[in-house]
Amino acid sequence: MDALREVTARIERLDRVDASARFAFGTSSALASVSGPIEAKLGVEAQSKATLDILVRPLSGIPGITERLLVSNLRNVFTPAIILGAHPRTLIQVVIQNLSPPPPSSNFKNSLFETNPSTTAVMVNAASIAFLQASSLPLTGVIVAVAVGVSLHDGERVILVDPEDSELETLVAGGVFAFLSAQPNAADPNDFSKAKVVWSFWDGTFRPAEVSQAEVLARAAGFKVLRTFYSVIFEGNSPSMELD
Amino acid sequence: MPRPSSPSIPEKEFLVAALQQSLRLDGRSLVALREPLLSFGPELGWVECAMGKTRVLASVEAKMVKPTPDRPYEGTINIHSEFSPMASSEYEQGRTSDEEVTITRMLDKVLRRSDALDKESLCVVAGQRVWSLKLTVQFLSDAGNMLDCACLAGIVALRHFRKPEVEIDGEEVIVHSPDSRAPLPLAIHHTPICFTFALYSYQKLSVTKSKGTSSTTEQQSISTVPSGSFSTHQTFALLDPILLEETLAHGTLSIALNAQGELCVLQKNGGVPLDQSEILRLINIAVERAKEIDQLIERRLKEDWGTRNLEVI
Repeated sequence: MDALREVTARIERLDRVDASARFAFGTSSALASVSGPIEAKLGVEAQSKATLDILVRPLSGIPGITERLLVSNLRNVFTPAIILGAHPRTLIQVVIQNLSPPPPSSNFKNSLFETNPSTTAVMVNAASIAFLQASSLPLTGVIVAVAVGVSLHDGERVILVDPEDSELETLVAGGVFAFLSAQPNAADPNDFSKAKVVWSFWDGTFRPAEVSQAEVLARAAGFKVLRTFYSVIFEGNSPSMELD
Repeated sequence: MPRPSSPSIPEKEFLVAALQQSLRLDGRSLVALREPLLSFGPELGWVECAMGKTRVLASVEAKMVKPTPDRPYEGTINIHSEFSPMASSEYEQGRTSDEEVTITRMLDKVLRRSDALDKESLCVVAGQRVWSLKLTVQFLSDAGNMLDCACLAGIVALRHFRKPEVEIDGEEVIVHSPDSRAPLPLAIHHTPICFTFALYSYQKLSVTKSKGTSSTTEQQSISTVPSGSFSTHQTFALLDPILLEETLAHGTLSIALNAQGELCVLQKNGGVPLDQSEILRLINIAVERAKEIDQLIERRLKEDWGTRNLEVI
């Protein structure tokens, strides 16, 4: 129940941005690019801090309401993570391209989610790697996100980490945890226990005890995700996701 | 971000001096393409095309809708192509730049109006149900010539895409999921491919000493101001320009054609005078390249089918 789908990450090296990265849990995938600090237009310039501009683009069609929800979630996740005051009157531009295949419409209509929690999780993770890769902005910590869900198995409620797309329909509750780890140290697992939950969101009916349990499971999974970040940044790309 | 500053004078002069010797900045010949790399996504109809550092992602989605009353036997295809700041910070979401308009129009001409896709084959029940295709093109990186990359990604995505099989039972329309019945390819008449040439035009001057530079005295000096009559001009055409070549170009010529040598679109921007022999020469180059790219597309599609488990028609 605490098994993650295959975690893949890659430093993308897009030419015209400061850093870019791709991250996936199984088939839920996102590509994030970060540019900053760059010149801000007069209208968006803030006197004492950098302006954080996040854009989310769907795979198909033009950005709509779902994308605005994702932008709002991502702003809440990343605003505490970046020391915006260090670069006043500049712009930090984050663009995230959703690369998750659209679920067959039947799956989604019956599920209680407006957006797949995994989508938010992979977007946060892709952007997080891009921020680390850019190395141009002071961060308060590394952010890692994991999606969780509660499903009914023989009448019992079971907590799942990183639910598959096919499981979404059967979930009675679910959400995302984003952890901010200020002293990331992949070698010592205990360090991740000090990571704070910087943001989380829940949908559906749930019991408070379940949330604490889910957080524990998500934290363990979050640590594995953090290790993937390190292997990608320090050792080169993880073997999957190569462009031919 | 405001418009990036224009290239510096040394960059401009270096590019032009190299052109005089038929050299390009990345070492290619004037008529060589950056070899396109096509990679396919997890779903059918999803392809990422990379030409050098320029990257474009195209994906196709289909849904069934009621057709428009004036065309009850035809399906529709809509192309969404919007720039995002991921391609470059100079592009803003929501504000349509000139390049975006040019690319959107060209994509429309090359992929929709060239009748590459048979719209009547998208009809399911005349007057009631037709397939409506949505082709979305996402520009991931602008390192010059996004147009050719986008057209290539678009046509390959259409060729890669499979629509679900539909069964008509009296009045009822049953759409079979790809798991139960193999999905069907779209009816594509021909594969148009676009080739863009960046044009540079310089006035030929008589041999003179270059002012104040260390170049040899025999070198023909060139004025960097493009102007009128072409018989006194030397024109260079660079196939598949990189960003700097595109920015400094005096004009462009885009030719869209298929491997059978049938011209679909010819678009010339910028007002650079070209005489007919030059245009024919460029068309011939495009014909050669189209055959090569067509073979590349066939090969990549075949390789990709080999890696997928589902039965492909």
